[in-house]
Formats: sequence, C-alpha cells, structure tokens
Amino acid sequence: MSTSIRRWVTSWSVFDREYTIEQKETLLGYGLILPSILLVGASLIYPVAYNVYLSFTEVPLDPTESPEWVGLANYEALLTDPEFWQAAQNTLVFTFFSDVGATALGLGVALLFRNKFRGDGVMRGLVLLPYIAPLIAVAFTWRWLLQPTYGIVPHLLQDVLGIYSPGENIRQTMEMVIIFDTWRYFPFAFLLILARVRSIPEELYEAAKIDGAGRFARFKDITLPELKFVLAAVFLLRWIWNFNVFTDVWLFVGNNVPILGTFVYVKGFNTIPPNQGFAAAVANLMVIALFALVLVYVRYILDW
Amino acid sequence: MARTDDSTGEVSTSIEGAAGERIRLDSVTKHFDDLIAVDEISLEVEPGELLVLLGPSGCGKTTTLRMIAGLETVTDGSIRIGSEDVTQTLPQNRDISMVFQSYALYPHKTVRGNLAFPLGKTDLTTEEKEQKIEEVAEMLEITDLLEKDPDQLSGGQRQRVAVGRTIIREPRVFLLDEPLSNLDAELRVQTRAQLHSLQRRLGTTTVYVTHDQEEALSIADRVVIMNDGRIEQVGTPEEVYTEPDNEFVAEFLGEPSINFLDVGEGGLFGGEVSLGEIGIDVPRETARIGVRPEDAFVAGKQPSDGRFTDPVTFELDVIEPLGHTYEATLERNGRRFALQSPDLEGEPGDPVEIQFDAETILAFDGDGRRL
Amino acid sequence: MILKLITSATEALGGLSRRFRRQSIEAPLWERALFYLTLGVVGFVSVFPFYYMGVTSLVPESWLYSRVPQAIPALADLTLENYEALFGAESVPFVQYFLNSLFIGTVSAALGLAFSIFGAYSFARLEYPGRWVFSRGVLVNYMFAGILLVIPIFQIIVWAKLVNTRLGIIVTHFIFVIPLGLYLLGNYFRSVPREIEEAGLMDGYSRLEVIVRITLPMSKPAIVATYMYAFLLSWNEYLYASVILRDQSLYTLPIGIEQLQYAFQNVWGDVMAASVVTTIPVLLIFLYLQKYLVEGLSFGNMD
Repeated sequence: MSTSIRRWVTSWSVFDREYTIEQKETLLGYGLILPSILLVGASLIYPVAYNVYLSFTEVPLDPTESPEWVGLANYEALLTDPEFWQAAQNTLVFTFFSDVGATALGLGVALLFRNKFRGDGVMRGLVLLPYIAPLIAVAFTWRWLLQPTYGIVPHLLQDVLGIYSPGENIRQTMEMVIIFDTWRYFPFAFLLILARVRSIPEELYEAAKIDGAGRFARFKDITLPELKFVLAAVFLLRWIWNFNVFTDVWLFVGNNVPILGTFVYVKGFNTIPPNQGFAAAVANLMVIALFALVLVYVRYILDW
Repeated sequence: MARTDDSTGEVSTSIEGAAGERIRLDSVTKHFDDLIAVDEISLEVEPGELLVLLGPSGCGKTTTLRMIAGLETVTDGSIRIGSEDVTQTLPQNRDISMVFQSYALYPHKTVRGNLAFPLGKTDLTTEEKEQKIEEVAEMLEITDLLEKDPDQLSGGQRQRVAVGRTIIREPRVFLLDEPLSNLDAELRVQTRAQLHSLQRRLGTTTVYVTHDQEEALSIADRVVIMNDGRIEQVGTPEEVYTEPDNEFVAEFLGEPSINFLDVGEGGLFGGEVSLGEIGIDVPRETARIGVRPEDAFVAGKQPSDGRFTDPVTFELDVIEPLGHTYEATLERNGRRFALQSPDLEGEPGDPVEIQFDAETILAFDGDGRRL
Repeated sequence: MILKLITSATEALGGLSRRFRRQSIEAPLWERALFYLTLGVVGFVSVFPFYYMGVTSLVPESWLYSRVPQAIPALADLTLENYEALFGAESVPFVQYFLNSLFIGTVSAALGLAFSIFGAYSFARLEYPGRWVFSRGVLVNYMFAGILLVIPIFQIIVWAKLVNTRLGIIVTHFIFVIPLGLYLLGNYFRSVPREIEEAGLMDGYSRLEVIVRITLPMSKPAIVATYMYAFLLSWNEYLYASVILRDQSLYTLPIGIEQLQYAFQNVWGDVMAASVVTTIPVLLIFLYLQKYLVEGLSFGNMD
C-alpha cells in the first residue's frame, strides 16, 4: 500500500501535469464517494463530537442564544438523579432479557424451519410480519391488546387465567415491554440464523445418526457449534439496537417504564423547560457505555 | 449498402479496417502486490498483422493484452500505438476494441443495441449508423438475430455479436481474449477460419490471446510464446514450430508433444545407442534431443526422400487407433516415446523399430536451449 | 381465527399425507403432528396482533367497549365507519398525514438513492486509499441510531433554520438512508460482471457513462429494492419526525397516529384503522422485496 502511495505521489511532477491512470481512477473514486462521506460524516462524527460539547453546557430555550458552559454540572446532576439510575437499571434488564428472548425464539423458529416443508414460503412471510410491519402500527396494536379496561389480553390473564390481580396495569410493566420487544425482533434473529442453519451439511447429521447420537446430542454437538458465530453476531446486533432503543418503548408505554432512551427524550424534549445539555450528557454516557460493552463483547466472546 | 460480387461471392462493404497501426511494448512490467505477472516484455506488432500471444494459463498473456487495452495499469514500461504513447491514456480513449472471453454482451440491449452502442461515440448520422449495423450483421451472418436479446442466443451467435461489436467502430487495433475457448470443438475450427479471413479482409492490427497452440499456429502471422511473464520466443508459426528456441517452446507446440531423449556417454539410453552410429549429427554439447511424434517412422515405412536414422528399437506399450493414423506410446529403458504413424501394427509388448527423420531432430543443451 | 385454524389444519394434513407418501424412514406421525402444531402456534403468535388490528378497525365502537372483550366478531357486525371517520375527519387531517409521509418518503428515498448509487459504485469498483475504511465505516454509523444523536442533530437543524419544515425532515431522512444504500448497492455492484463494464470502456465510454448506461440498467432490481428499503425507513421513522415537525399540517403518519389518541374519545377503532392503512403499503412493498430478504440483502447482514 505504501509503495503505491509513494509512487502515486512522486509521479506528480510540477512541470508535467499528466496524470497516471491510477491517479485518474483515484480522483474519480473520491469524487463519487466524497459527497456521501461528507454527509454521513457530518451526520455522525460531527454530531457525536457536538454531543460531547453540549453535554458540558446548558442549552437555552432561545435558539439564537448560544449554550452556556457549565462544566461537569450536568454529569453531577445525572449521576445523583435516582431517575437516571432507575432508567439505567431498566435498560440493562430490558436489553439483556429481550436480547436473549429474541435470539432464543429466533433460534427455535429457525430450527423449526430447517427443512423445507409445504407452505414454507407462506409461513415464513407470516413469521416475518412482526418485524416488517410499521412500528407505530404494532406498538399501538399491542397497546390496545393490553388496554387495562377493554383489552383482550388483560381479560384473559386476569379474569380467565388468574395471573395478575385485577386492576393492575399489565401493559406498563417491564415484562410486557420485554415480551413486546422479543415478539417484534425475533424474526430478525430467525432470518439470520435460518440462513446459517440451512447451510449445515446434511452429512454431519447422518454421520451422527449412524454413530447413534440422539436428537439432543446432535443439537448440542453439531448444530450449536455451527451456529456459534451467527448466534453471537445476532446477540451483539440486538444488544446494540436494544440498548439504544427509543421509539419501540416510547410508543408502547411512553415514559412509564423508563429506559435510558426515553429518559433522554423526555429530558430533552418533553419536559418544560427542556434540558438538552443534561440529555446530551446522558446520551454521551450511553455512547461510552455501549462502546465499552461492545469492545468487551467482541474481544472476549467473538474470539473464542 | 453491402454489395455482393456475384463472381467471387465477396461482399464489399463500407466497413474497412482502419489502416494498420504499429503497436510497441517497451519493457512492460506488471506487478500485482508481490506477484510479477509480466516481466519486462518488449514487443512490436507490425501494422496489419495478426499477432498471437500463446502460452499456458498464468503466463501473463491476458494481462499483457489487458495492458494494451488499458484495463490494467502498467507498473513499468511504456505502450505505444502508432506514434502515440498510450501508457497513461484511459482505455476509452485509445481507439481500440476488444472481444472478451465471456463475450460480455450488454444483457439489457438487443443485438442491434449491442452493435449500435460503440457507434454512439462516433460522429455518424443515424442513417450511417443503421447502415453500418446492417453491414456488420451481414458480414457475420447475424442479420436475423438483430432484434433478439443476448440471452436468447447460442454461444456461437453471441460470439459473433461480440466480434461485430468490436469491428463496427473500425478502431485501429483489435484485441481478442481467447474468443473461441467457450465454443465447442467443431464450432471452434469453423469460427477460427472466419475470424482469420475477417482480419485479413479488414487489415487491422490484431493481438489475439489463446492457450490453444493449434489455434495459434493456424491463424497467426506471428506467434509470441510466453511463459511465467516472459517471452520465450517470437516468430512465424513455421519458425517457432520447426526452430524452437528452447525446450519449453518445443514442448508447448505440437500435439502430441515432442519427445525428449537424454543424450549421455555419446548416445541415447545411457550410451546404448550411439548417436553417430545411427546417423544423428548433433553438436557435442547436446544434452537432449527432441523428436516429434510425426517425425518418427516405422522401420522401412519412412518417406522416400529425406534423410533418416537407422532403426532404434522400442517396446510397444499402448496403441490407439485414431481413424487415419495410430498414436502409440513406446517404451525403452523406462523412457516413453510418443509415435504417430499410420503404419503401426502390433500388440503391447511387441518390439517396434523406429527411424527418426534426421533433418528435423532438435538438439538442446543442458539449459534447454536449442543448439 | 377459526379460518386460520382450518387452513393450518388442512395444510398440516396435506403436508402429512405428502410426507407419508414420500418417505418411509422419516419422523413418526406424532412427531410430525407436533411439528405442525408448533408451527401453528408460532404462526398464530406472529399473526394474531395483526388479525386483531384488522378486526378492531372493522367493528363499531360498541363492540369494542363492551364489558367482556371478544376476539371474533360476527360478520354482520363489520362496518367501515372507522375508516370513514378517518378519511372524512374534520379535526384529524389523516389524509394529510398520509400524503406527508408519502411525499417525504419518496423524495428522501430518491435523494438518498442518488447519492448512494455513486458512492456504492466507488466502493465496488474503484481503488483508492481509504476505501476499506470508508466501506466498513458506514456500518458503524448504524450503531449510533436515533436517540444517541437526536440532541445534536436537533441543534443543527435549529441552527440551519430547518425546524418545522419538510425540507428539514427530508434532509435528515436521506442522510440516514445513505449508509444503507451504500451497503446494499455496494454489494450488488460488486456482482455485476466486470467484463461487461470493461466492454463499455472499450467501446469508448467513460466510467461515468458506463455507470449510467450499463451498470445501472443492469442493476434495476437492486436499485428498486434499495429505493423501497429507503422509503420504508422514512415511512416508519418516528423520533426525528416528532422532534422536527411541529405543525400538525406537517405531521407524518407515525406522529399522526400517536396524536389520534388525544383527538377522539374512545378512539381505538380509528387508531387501528389508521394502523391498517399505514401497514398495507409496507406489506405490499415487502411482497415485492421478499425474494431478496434472505439472499443477503437483509438488513443487518454484516459480512
């Protein structure tokens, strides 16, 4: 790589403006990608940096005034705020369990689909519905399903089955949020795992059957190891997305099961007066925490 | 419009090759990271000639062709077409065209669209373009395919469309990258002849790449044998076949390939058969001699004129009848000898006496070079 | 729901008999029954909310707010009054929301596509220093979804005086779409045979012309698919729309539906009708896209 750069640079001569083909290609390459890179960079690197800056300020309501530097005040405030810690705890619980749930359910359904069967295409479409339907539609449908007074699920669970005592608002519980998220995203895990499961060669299983391995042994010793990587990848991806989630939870339970995402939104846009510096600080911590978690995960778990 | 001359059957058209241009490669080198694909190749292609780059796969012939095309950048060296140095010119500006091994037809255009596409970059009027398309289609006998899509065509038809697309713009050089290797054998021979006569008629300088030595020898004005990124020999088909510069060239050309017999202690087979005694006259430094299968004859059945060695005895190992002739593998002292002769008879294990054509025997020194 | 049971039962029976005919060494009957039963449960769990969404949108309020919730309405009870309320509403400009979402979706997807096409081509075919970094970097972008960046991006939008404008939301959406387009199209362009593009070069056309006249026409399915993905991204987007758009007349569907619950009393029929209307275009689009979903264009398939 460095030799080509060196050659590239030295072939530029002050007196001879003839460009080599490689240079022309490079110019074109940059020309095509630069607008996109600039925009994406502007929408990523700059905001991240700006977010860091904002977290040290107090942002006034009036857009014409600039933010006022307050140093670590926001961070102090949030670290001593019990709401923050509640949200943080909720986030970890939620992320972990919904991730496990979606991955496990996705795995189960993928195994179900391992061999093609009649109606396989239709079933696959049905199974994908929770994932592809607009979030707003499913979130509100679940709201309605779990509506305390008129919803069919509370009726079933409280009046008919006796789980939960009557009068409780079932919807606004952590369990329901986890279940909702699991339902919404298991098809994602399903898709990724299915592709991998279907590519496991049949001979491995046949050899194992001949060797007398029972169903569970075959699962443990053949299927699971083959799926290790995709399961780890799915778990990671869902972790990243769930940790950052906002819309799913907000539309389903609003601020009644606070997680970090909704906490940021509420503090930044939904309280009077909004405290965007504070919200930026929370978001900042989320970025750092996420990076740390991902790094730990990638190093220790993906490198096994 | 194309006019057919009824007496000769030749079609005269407005499609002519551009006047032949000379191509010159000067110490052209191509590195891919650590791999040296082409190592300081210097070459001149005469105006109007059909030059074939021949060699085993991986020898750099296609890379060289692509550098002439401009599709690969040149690590070192220069390429000139005519008087112009095109080394840093983008391929679209070199005024040359290429037939790809896979034909690379545009799937989203009809045959007519494929032929018309190169004309989009010329200054012709619409009528003139139409005319050219008609003529090229007639020349290549694809007129009834003009409105079809490429995926409806057979391999041979696609190949002709690819050729049509190449010639329609009348560039100053044609490049062909193994244009026949995807055709089946029978079609290959037929198409080969058509390509040859087409090139003759148009007179455009052509560089042609193939790994098939029979193909190369049959159509080339000159052949460049390449190996491992280097040129082994350049010459007319006759020259490289009868006067190979080294063992590689001698072995690469000819089917079945040439037989090598080690020379030691003044004779073959460890001295058992003295060279002088049987009438082989070669320099003293000879380490091996080469005898082509068709230059060896069953004792007593050799042609009447020419000089032949005394018979040498082998044992018959395998004999394969090929219709008009026999191909046999003979054996002596663990060495194999391929023979091609219509007069061969016998069962495996029988002794066979062979006389070599003394005038075609090739002598090679210890490094494989011809003496 | 009964309909669902019947169809899956017949399907199961059909499948059973077919299996029975074909293999003799395969799973025993009870196992296959269990398989189909499990499949049925999975299908049911996935689909039931949608069924209920549809049913709720098609029944009158009285049916919804009865003492004991029911699951299956009698055919005679079905009505379109919720949809009528939605489309005829004076207080809730639902049609306006729909049109807003449509407009913003189509425009931002088109803009995003235009940028990504050229960038993706650059990733796929051209060589220059930094290419590897860029092409992996765009995926990192998605780690930072939504909430993490909403504060600074909102401030930027304010600074650019684009708050409460359609332009503001279009710009936001199309910038989000670009990494997705780069990834999907980059993968696809790499699979276009190199030689066909080289043939275009040899025929005298510059790279840009080759991209436009050869690569793009050959990539139509991928481009259409990417456009649709981009459209869906915008259609479903809630967070930034809610933060940037303030006037009710500018609201997109997600925000609009959320607002619905404050608009009426006993509003669930209408909300579900609105949800159905929002969902149907998505399902139609996915019907078209479904063949691509598992073949490697699936969202988040990183490799």
